Amino acid sequence: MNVSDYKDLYASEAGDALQALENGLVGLESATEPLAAIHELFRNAHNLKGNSGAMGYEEIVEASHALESALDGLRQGGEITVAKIGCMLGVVDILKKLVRCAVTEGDGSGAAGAAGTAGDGTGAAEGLDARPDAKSPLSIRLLGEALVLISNISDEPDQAGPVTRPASPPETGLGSPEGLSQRITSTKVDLERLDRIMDLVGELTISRIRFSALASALGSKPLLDELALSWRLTSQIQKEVMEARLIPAGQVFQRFNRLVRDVSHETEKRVKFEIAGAEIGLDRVVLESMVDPLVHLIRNAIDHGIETPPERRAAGKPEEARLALSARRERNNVALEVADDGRGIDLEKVAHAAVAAGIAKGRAADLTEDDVCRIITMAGFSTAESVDKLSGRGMGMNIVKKTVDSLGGSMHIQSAPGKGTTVTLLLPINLSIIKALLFSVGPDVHALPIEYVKETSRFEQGSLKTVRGDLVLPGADGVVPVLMPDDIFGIPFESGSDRYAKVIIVDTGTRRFAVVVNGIIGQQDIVIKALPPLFRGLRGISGATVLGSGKVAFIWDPHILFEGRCAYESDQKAVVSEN
Amino acid sequence: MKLRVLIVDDAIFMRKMISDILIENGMEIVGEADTGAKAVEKYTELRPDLVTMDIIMPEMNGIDAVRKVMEIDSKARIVMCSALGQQALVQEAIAAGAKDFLIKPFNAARVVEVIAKVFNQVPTV
Repeated sequence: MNVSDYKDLYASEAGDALQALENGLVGLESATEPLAAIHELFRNAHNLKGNSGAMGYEEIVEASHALESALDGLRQGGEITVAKIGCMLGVVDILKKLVRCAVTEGDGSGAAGAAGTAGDGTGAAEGLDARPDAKSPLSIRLLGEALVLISNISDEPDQAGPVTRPASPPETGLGSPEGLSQRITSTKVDLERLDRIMDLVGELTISRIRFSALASALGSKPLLDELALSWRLTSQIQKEVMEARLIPAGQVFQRFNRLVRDVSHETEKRVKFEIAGAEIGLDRVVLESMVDPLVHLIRNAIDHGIETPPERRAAGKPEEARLALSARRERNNVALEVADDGRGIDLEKVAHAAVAAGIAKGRAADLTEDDVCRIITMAGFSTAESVDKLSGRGMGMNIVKKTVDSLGGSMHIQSAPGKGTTVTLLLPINLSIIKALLFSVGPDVHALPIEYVKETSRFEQGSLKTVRGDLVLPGADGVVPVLMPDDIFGIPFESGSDRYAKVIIVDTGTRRFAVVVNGIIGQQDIVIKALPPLFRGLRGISGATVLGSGKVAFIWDPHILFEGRCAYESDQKAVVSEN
Repeated sequence: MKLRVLIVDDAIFMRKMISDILIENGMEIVGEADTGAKAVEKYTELRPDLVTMDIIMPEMNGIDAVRKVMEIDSKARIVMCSALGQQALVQEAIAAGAKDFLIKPFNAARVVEVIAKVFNQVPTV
């Protein structure tokens, strides 16, 4: 039996247990049935200890054993205090680090898994002496920290000795009441494996497209009929795998319980944190990249949006503020929302600061609410008087917006003075299969995700004008800068001798461009493939797809592709008025 | 015929580890349960030759599950699986009818030895 075979399973379950411990401890302060909650916490610590023992991770065994003992103290009637919970949360943090160390370390430790693991003693010195010197010093230091934290918890004056547990088991039994212990009847699948299945399904889709191209060419009716059935089956498989690959938003949401607790303690605010839509599924990549933006939005809400209890009382609001994090499905998108009932964004202040900083022109009073929201998300903008630990560097909202944009999503801010602020991030559910517009440039086919395509159009050759040396296409709503493929990639471009040239009007949400192409092929579902390492450095290309013909098409990323193009791009209003 | 085993533990990791050891030693895993309540349900349904039973679980702990199973089948062979520091609970489980116990982390040789012992003690029907 090789212990390393169990590492993935161990890591996954340890992660779940630690998350449950963290949430449980955070919730313990306000638990209506603390004893049941403590049982559940104890069970999680106990499982972590057991699993770690089997893996031969002795530091984790000792630290989780210490935590288990502290919880047992509470179970035996010890007083639940904020300080104790703080210490235990500290131990959970250390355990997270220890688990990370253990699972990333080489397979050197505890080969048999059956080696004599930690005894009952929780004394730090005793533990350290017994340790073979091959152990990584970091994990020993972490264990030391954990044991010191735990020793702070002990109610008894003599905390040096090992914690003795009462001989009799709790008479109430260990089972927790229903509700707390709902178990999921599902199996865990390695995400990488799901990604591989997804890739294979992608290949199948491509082969399906090629097959039908061949069958159409042959014109065989029975073959086409049979293929139609296989089409339906492949799309069903594709749909199922795509669904299976989605991860419930709750997996990320629950990490924020702790953040809200810490930030609100730090800023001396009272916050009731609510989570909704935890079951809504999102693409793993989308969900992972939303962690930092959500951290920022939540911090912002507590730090700037939510008032202190006296301020709230004066404003006639309940002292405890409400902060809601939610997910909901909106057709092919998922909306993530952070809503607070704080003071709202001071639009006036934002407008003045923006004008003062030269970000906006004209009078502050002339700016619309939309303008103001756009300003908030610009780089370097902040109304905070000083940069503090939590926020106010003026980069946050800009980064949030950039991250959302890069995923093909959008960000919306709604704010009512005195009533609160709601930030909505609208994100695609899936990143693996997208609708794209295929077009040709010379002999090559390229793809542009459909959400960036405003329209396709044509213009008479020679009708282009120049503004400040750049080509522009006059349109109904002002002029649009024109880009030639040779400007973009240095692809040799022949516009041909036709009277009209074809263009795609690309809208990134903040900018608009007309890209001249040779031909528009049409809209199609494409499977995104990551670029091979050699091509990763290509800026402006987000991936590639294999077409029915077997040809490879690059997928354009207009945000990066058009970055820094045209001197006046950020100032389109001015251009419009000049013309 | 292979020995049919029901594995009860709330940690997937532990279930996997125990089942690997048992399969390697020629046993058949007929079912798994992650709570005491499900263990009782599965026992009734499967009537396994052997049950490995964790103690600390949600929805009915292992000791109560032993009691329930023994009510259903007084000849049930249950081996408790517990971590260090649960000796008092193990004793209680044995009093309730469990035949023996294993201490986590498991050692394959010890697991087999305990199971063999259980089957020598209790004459097969």
